[in-house]
Amino acid sequence: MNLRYVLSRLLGGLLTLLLIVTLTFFALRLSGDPIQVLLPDTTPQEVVELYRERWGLDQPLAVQYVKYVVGIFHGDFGLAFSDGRSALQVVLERVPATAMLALAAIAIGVICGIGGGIVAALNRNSAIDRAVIAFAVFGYAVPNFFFGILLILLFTVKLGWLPSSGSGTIWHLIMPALTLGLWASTPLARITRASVLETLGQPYMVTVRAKGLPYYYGVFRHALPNAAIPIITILGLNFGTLIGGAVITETVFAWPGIGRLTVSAVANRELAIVQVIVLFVATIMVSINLVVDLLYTWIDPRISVVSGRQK
Amino acid sequence: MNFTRRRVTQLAALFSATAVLPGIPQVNAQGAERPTLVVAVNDQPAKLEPADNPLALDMRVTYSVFDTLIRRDYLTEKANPEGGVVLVPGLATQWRRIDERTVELTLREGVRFHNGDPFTAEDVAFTFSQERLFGEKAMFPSAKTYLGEIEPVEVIDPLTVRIRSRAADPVLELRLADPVGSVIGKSAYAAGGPDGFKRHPIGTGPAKFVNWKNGDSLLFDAYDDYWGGRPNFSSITYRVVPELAARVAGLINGEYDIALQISPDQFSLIEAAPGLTVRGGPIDNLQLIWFVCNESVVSDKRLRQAMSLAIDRQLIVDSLWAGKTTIPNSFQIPSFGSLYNPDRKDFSYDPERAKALVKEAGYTGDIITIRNVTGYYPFGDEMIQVVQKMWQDVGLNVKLEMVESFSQVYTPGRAVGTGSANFLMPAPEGLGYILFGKGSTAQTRHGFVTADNLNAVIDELKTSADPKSRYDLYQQALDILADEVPATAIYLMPQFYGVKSAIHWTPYPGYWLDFRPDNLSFAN
Repeated sequence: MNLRYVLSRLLGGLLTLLLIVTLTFFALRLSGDPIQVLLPDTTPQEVVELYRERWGLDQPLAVQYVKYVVGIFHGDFGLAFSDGRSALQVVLERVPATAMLALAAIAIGVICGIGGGIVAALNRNSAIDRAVIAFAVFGYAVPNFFFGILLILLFTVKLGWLPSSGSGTIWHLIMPALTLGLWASTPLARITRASVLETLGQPYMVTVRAKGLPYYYGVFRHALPNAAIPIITILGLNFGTLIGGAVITETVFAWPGIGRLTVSAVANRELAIVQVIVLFVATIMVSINLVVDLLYTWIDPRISVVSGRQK
Repeated sequence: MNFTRRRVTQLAALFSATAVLPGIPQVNAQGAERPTLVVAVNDQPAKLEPADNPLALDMRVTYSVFDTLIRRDYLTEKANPEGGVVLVPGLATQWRRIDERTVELTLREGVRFHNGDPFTAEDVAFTFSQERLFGEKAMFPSAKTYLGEIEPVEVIDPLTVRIRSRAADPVLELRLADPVGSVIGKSAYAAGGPDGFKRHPIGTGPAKFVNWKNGDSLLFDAYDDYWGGRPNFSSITYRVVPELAARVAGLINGEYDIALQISPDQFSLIEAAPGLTVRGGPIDNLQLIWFVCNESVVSDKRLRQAMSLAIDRQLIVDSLWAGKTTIPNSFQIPSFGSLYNPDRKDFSYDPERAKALVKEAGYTGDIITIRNVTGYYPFGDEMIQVVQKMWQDVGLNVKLEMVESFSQVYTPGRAVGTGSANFLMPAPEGLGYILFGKGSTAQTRHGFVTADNLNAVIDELKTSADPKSRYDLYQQALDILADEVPATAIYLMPQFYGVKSAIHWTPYPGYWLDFRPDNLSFAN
């Protein structure tokens, strides 16, 4: 693996992050005055000005921007207006919940999606294949909030097996993970099925059969690794999205993750918190893209990297 | 069929008639002596400092953590709605007026804060200090909005203080009963600083802070040394459940004892479940539509009068709130007591008169732009759409713009907007200013510039202590408002709660929740 390529990708990632920080900073400040959201209409003007000064909103935008960027390089991501806590701390304390949910959902997605896709491909045009396709269409078509509430109706209201929402125990995790797992599994199932079907028709699979190797050995040793590239891509994208917070699912199940924090921070014009979240999600996405790219070269040695370019 | 979230929850009723069965695991554990109380709230506060820009989310929690010097007795007021406001001792056992600016209070002996510190006059002095609330560099300057300007507290002896406003203030006692005036401990504050205190509140109320899980829950234990008696709960958990359907499902499943922010379409579902009931009703908050009086299209007061007359408020209340709230008769609420005039009819419905006024005003069909912040008020989006149609029916050309924030509302071009008037205390001063008077948004933001006669009346009202004179002056102010129509009220905003029937608890006509022993008990 070419070190220069990795370094150039890292540098590109950092520039992407700086661009995102800049765009977010200006977009947030141009989209409305946080004072008007944070203080009641009845607040006297002199009091409004006091708060504006206290929160640094009285300074020119360019000055605020420079201070913010310099602050980031010193590990200072700003303070929440409402409670004066570090915005970084506010966001980081939500990461474990979001990561737990994302990992559980991805696990369900991998098991159901990749497993279902392989089974469907190996049983092409059978009832099993149609069932998997129907499941994938259902999962793709049903909105998360609807599926989530159906789960609550079944497992909480009807059966009384699971708590309706919240966090803290493994029982609280089941329904949100199922909801997101369904969402994550459907594209995986479709991509896996298509990809495996494509590899099954390749000449090397004919060779495998001609050599008299067991069928499933051929599938797992030769077909699946060759079908992995698009699956890894979708998996990486899904994981990045889930780590960024699943707004609807977290809201329906009162899961204390980043998605809900994002909604409330945007609604309350908590500029520092929104910026940290955007930076966090962008960092995750850039990192996952880099990891996925590097995984390509490991999975398929034909993909190599020379002088910072893939070929 | 339209499958909205609410619809899905309603469907649950069809097959959940047998769902609330004995034997379904109850999530809230019963304490050895007293029950726990689990309250499902739609969102969590960001801070629990009672004077720091208090929002509804904050006050519903802080109300049982802190005490005020003087308390409003909501239960007595509810039993006798005609009687107006009833003030009773809180951390002060008695008080008396010294002059038009000063109240002397005798403090309760033997009270201790949650951290064990004794409650003293020094705590009162710090609570209302210049450093914290009223100075030039005060920690929480927004408190002035509700408390007015107060001079440094005079400590007469360890159990006697004098609180003096900078100008004559006939409602100073009411201000001291406002939750913004909750008393905090000086030494606890010094230990944690304002930011520490916001996240670890220490008061004298029945609920003692234990734990804060961001985005998830807030936990309080009973403060057994509470001066008002041993609390009837062992702990209170405020659990965040943003989704209405999930709050209702959790209530039916027995996970929550009280669920907040219930809309009328959920009533039948909750009341069909054994052991559950719906409580609540109108609170002291007017849902308003305001006019930009200096915007040419609505600058003629006859047009604004027409727009107010064209609104069928009863139809709106029946359709959106199932008739469960009330229509105000002017910019006043019944808890004004002696100031309240039940005979006013400032918000009547008369579409024919409205049409005539539209014609009289010489309206030529110019576009009247309404701006509304999407989702800001419960049923606010639906309400303004209905009003838009009612205005179109009397011949007005109305355009509705749904926007994301109030800063977008306030950009030029709007003639009408939605808002609310939340009376934190039962007096014209309860909004922080006297409705539509000097300093109000009507004058600072909505171009209510023809208000000189109103300001003169209000200036007199602000310093008048005589009840009869205050009544007359306020009626004069309301007459001016009925003529000028800088805004019109639609209904009193309601708040509804799903509650276990076995819990004896009365919601108040505000956003706060009171779990003191006289307002919370559990049936066996």
